[in-house]
Amino acid sequence: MTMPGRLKTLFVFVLLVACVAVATTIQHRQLKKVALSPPFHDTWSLSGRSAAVIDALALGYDLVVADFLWLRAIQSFGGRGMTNRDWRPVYDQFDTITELDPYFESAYTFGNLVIGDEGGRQREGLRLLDKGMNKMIYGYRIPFEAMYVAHWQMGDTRLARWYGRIASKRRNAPDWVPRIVAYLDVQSGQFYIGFDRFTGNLLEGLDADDAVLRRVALRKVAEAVDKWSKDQILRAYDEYTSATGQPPVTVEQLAGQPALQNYEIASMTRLLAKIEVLQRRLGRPSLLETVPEIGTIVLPTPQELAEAEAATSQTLAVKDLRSLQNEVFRYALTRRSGIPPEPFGDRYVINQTMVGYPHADRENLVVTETERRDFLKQILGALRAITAERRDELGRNPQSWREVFFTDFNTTEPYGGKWEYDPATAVIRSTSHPDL
Amino acid sequence: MGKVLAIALNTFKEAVRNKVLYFLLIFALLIMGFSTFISDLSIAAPEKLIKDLGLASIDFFGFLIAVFVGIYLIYNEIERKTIYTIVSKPIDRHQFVLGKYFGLLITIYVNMAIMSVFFFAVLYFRDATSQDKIMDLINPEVNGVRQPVENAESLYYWYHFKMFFIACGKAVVTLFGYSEPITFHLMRVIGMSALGLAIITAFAILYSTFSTPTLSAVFTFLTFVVGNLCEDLLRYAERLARNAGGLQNLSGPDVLKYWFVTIAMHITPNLALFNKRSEAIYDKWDVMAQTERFVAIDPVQVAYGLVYVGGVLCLSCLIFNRRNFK
Repeated sequence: MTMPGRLKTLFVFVLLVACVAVATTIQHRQLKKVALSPPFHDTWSLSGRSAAVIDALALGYDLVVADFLWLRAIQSFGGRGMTNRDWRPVYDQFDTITELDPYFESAYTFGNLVIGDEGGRQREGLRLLDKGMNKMIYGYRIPFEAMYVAHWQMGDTRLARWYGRIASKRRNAPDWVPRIVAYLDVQSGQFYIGFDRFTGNLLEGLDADDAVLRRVALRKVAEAVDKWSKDQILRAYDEYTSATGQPPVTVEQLAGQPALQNYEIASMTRLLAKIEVLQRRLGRPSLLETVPEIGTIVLPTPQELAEAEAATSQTLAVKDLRSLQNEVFRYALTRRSGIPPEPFGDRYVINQTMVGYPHADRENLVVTETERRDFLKQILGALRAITAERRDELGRNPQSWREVFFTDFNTTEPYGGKWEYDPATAVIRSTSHPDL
Repeated sequence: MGKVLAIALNTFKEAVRNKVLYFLLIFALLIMGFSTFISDLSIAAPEKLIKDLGLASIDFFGFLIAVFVGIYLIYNEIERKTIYTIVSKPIDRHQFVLGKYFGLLITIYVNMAIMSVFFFAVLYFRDATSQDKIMDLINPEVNGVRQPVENAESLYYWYHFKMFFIACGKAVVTLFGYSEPITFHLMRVIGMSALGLAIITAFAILYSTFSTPTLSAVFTFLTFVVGNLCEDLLRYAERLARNAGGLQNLSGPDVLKYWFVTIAMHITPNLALFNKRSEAIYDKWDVMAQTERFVAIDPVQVAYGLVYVGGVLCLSCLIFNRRNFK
């Protein structure tokens, strides 16, 4: 059966109208969807950022163009590394690559390496990583790298922690990422969070009977408590200095300061006591007797163990310690007044060398007795080495400090003692520790 | 239908005699083969480079075949006067147009299949001969210690020889649904590219019904350009409206521009919809996606492609029906 010519034309015309109408309707809906999800950057621009123009000119082959620019950027990095080491133009290249191929993870990380590590422009490197972090919402690697840049290159622990927390929540984050973030929590003064995380790691290590994780976590918990205690003493140090107009000589002078009155802090011994009791309740071997690394940490007293025993129910509804983390954490917190105990059995002291020293790291102001002694040994060792060197140059013993340093030696002795130099023997000693 | 098929097969036979086709195919295969060497220049993500280049080559050379073969199909029939022998037979003109279209489409798809097999073979072979696998082969770990095997060199070459054939075999079956992590959902990407090329081919046929090969090539290429910029046209229209402080505040030439662009973006084919390459290479944004590198095919987009092809072919038929061959 054949259709007459006019009818056939009419049929084809009607089919054309129908097809066009359906296609246009679908297209209209698709465009509405596109309009709802605007691009990361405005892509219609024939001036300004080159990425927008290249993106339009790539005609859908953005990924291939990005790949060739990527190879070019690697060459450019090598070339500039061997010549003027001006990385700024390479930054634009990486910006363009990541605009064309927003999911190219290596372009973000390598770009940051070029701009931040090599070029010293960490802020710009972070900006590139920020872009990648917002694009690749499941990957941990980019925020983790941003964390590295912020902490180890820029020294901004708070910013590093922010990136770290994002990294640890990403879908593919390995289990070691939260542990590193816990370290940053402690470094940035978030002691509750850091202590909680490391406690979690310790409990995890005990549950899994993982000796390495247990050892590292135990050490980290103790370090977190140490850092927390030092921070509390440093607050009192500031209060004392501000109230009296002069720095304290001993830590004991700080005991009456408001910062050291009825403050909350984690107790290492309470934590160990609680875990010990829970281990027993679960029918597991004693933590205090079987873990060799426990020896370096102060153990709970029998009274503390008895208190923990009394505070723990006889039957446990769970089979693992990890489920009891909140209970353990809350129990380890305690209120106290005065100088906090040092978790490794040492005592806190003030390092006089750092008092009033403008470039001093606050971490070195309040130290343990052992650290202060080591510090004194280090200074003495350095002084003796310099003096010996000078003696070799002169061919005789230097007659004074000035002959060694060409200026006065003003560094305060860590214990507040004096430096003694004997020109006859060229021996240097400290009055506080003449035995060293 | 039989007539359309006969013309299509005849068109296919005619197209495979076209030397341009072979040049394009060889060039595409060379690029894909070379991609494995190019990827070695990269300090990271070499697999991504091979996939990008391979998928883009399949799409782009498919497009070039559509242009350089498609534009001559109808023109040559008219130029050589062979059209008279066809229109004098009981064959409708629209059957002729459709036959030509499907013949060209078969040509393109056969070429895409050859390119895909080659591309998959490159991927499988590279994956099978990765440094780790070769190390495990010639320097296997026994009780935690790596120990070299005897005849490591001959084993090395024999393994490559064997893997070459296995990769080729896997590449062929990948066309029919088999996949490994390295080729997961790549056929979907190529399938969507094929649908995009069906639109471009329809346009090539449309233009060749009323113009010279050169003009047809230019028109087809411009269609390809505009089709890829379709979503950018939307951004441009939005920007015009935004800069004016709203659509109602548009004035002067901006009003014309706005409506011209709005109409253009609705009637031009949105080829970006058929570009799924980045989805095959990276993880999906969608949290509900079942697997990584999941390429979702939206049936509406497929319907859009098919309907669009239908519309362009109808237009081609209408134009060709009214064409006077005297």
